[in-house]
Amino acid sequence: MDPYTKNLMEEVHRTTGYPVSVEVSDGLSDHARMVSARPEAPVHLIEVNADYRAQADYIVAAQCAMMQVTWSDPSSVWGVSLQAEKANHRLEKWSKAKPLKLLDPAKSAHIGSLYLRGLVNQLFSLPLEIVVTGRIFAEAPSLHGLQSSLQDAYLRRLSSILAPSFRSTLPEEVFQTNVGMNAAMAMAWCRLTGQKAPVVPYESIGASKTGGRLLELTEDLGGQGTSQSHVQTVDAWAQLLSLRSLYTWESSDRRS
Amino acid sequence: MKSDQISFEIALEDFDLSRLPVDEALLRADKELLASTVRAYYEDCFRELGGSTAIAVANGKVSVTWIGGDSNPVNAVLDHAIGLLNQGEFTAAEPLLRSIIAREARNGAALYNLGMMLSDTGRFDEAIDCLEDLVETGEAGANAWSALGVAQKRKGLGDEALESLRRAVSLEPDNGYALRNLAAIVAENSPQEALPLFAKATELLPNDPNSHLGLGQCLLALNRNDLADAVLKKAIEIDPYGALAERARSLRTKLSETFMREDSGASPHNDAVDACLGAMRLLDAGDAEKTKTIAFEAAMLGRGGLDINDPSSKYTLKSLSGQFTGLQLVALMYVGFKQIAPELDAGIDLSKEYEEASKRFHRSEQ
Repeated sequence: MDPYTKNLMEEVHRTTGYPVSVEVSDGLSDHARMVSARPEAPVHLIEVNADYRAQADYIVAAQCAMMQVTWSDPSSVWGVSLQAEKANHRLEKWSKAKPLKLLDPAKSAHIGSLYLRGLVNQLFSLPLEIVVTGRIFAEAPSLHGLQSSLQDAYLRRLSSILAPSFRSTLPEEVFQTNVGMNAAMAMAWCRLTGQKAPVVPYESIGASKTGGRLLELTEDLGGQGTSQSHVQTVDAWAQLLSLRSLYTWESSDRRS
Repeated sequence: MKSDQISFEIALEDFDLSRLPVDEALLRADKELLASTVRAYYEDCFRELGGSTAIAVANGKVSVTWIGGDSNPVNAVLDHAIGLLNQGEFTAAEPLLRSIIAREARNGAALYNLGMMLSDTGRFDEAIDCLEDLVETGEAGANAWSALGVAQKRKGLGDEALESLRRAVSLEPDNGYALRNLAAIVAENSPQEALPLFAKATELLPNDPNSHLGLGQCLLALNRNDLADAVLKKAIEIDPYGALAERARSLRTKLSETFMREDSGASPHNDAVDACLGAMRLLDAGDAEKTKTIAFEAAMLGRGGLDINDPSSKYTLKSLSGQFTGLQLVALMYVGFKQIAPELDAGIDLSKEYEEASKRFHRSEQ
């Protein structure tokens, strides 16, 4: 195991009071899944997708670094929950426009709510991922190879929304919001590595302006790497993307 | 071609789009975007090299010409290609290596790296051709013969592979990779003969999980179980998430069972029956969530390897007070899984002990 990864696992144990355990699992839709500890399951479990086994050292390091941010104060670990009334209002708006208006109402509501949750999840996770990606890139040259190959795969997946067949299934507002956030991630990676290719598709549709502003907000607010700075960054992103009314913050005491 | 430049051309349809950081379906649907992305990709590839790069995308082809500054263009491109190979960027590296070989047909480093890449990607015939060209230069060392041997073995040419690998080891008796690759073939028929080869490979390559796993398997085949366990443990420590570690874990679990059963034969192992009975009592509160938590935590600890044959109580759980032996933890996991998810494979067979403990448990309940 890379010493940097090992050290981060130990730091998470010290900071949060719970050890980190790593499993390699088949059938994950993403490259990793994190189940954070709670008193009744007192281990942080990081599941690494077996297809990404070769990049496990980087994946584990990234998950641990994210946990260090979200658990910087274990007595107050923040999560978001949807504001039902505002969410319903947004869903109603989407249901009147293409492509959801072409579906029967029940299906339209179901798919719309999936899109809504997806946007809020992405809003919560992407600023954090940008901060952590930058931190590991700066601190762990030994992981650059693994980080690059995983990041390429991740950016490939994020850009899939731009394909016409995918785009046509989304309300325009969902598409633009999602693409703005994805552009921020691609631009952050290009800024770190000097690459150009990842941002080409976003530049071609004019999404790099939003992406650039989101990235500036992340650099201004998220650099401290604490849960508080993460909350501020997410709120700033949400303000810019007109998502702020859709969620509330909830804090939980996760001390062991 | 001028002496300070490297040029190559590749058809867009041959370009492996999965190597680009942009979705394939999107690129296939938009030819202009495809051209821009491929151009940016090659700019990215050559930027670190300095010099100047001319990239043209036209008529379904991308043409790249790189003109080095003051540096030796072949060496600079070679270093860059090797860097790409190390990152798994095979498609990007291949034209660079081929462009070097077009200029310098006997460039050993280019032939070696291209041959290895072709072998690793399953193009065995091309790999063997390339590596044969390399060894025919007469300047090839043990690594070249070793790579040729591996490609021949992968192609199913066992005798030729053995000959190449023996040649590699004779050229360089302290080449760990050559020793390891030779040992892997020799072990198929003679673990005894392979053992010293693997042992030397692990000394030369202390952080190579392949050598350690090979040595562990040889030791197992020769019934030297104590030594095998330590070597397998080392293989897991070196690369805990790799496929080899999974194999080593599985072998260690079987080995623990072997140790445990050495003194009980076909009968249930008494200590394991006691451990299962203890686990049934601890987990008998009817609280499925609690059982799940304890079994889960024990299983997680077990991922790091539990010494089930050590009688000392050296393990603790957050979810259950007290100190436990490795066998007690395995029993907690086994009994817990039986109660909450009997379809799960606990990785160790305590079925006889579980059955015996169940009988005793129900007798004591009556």
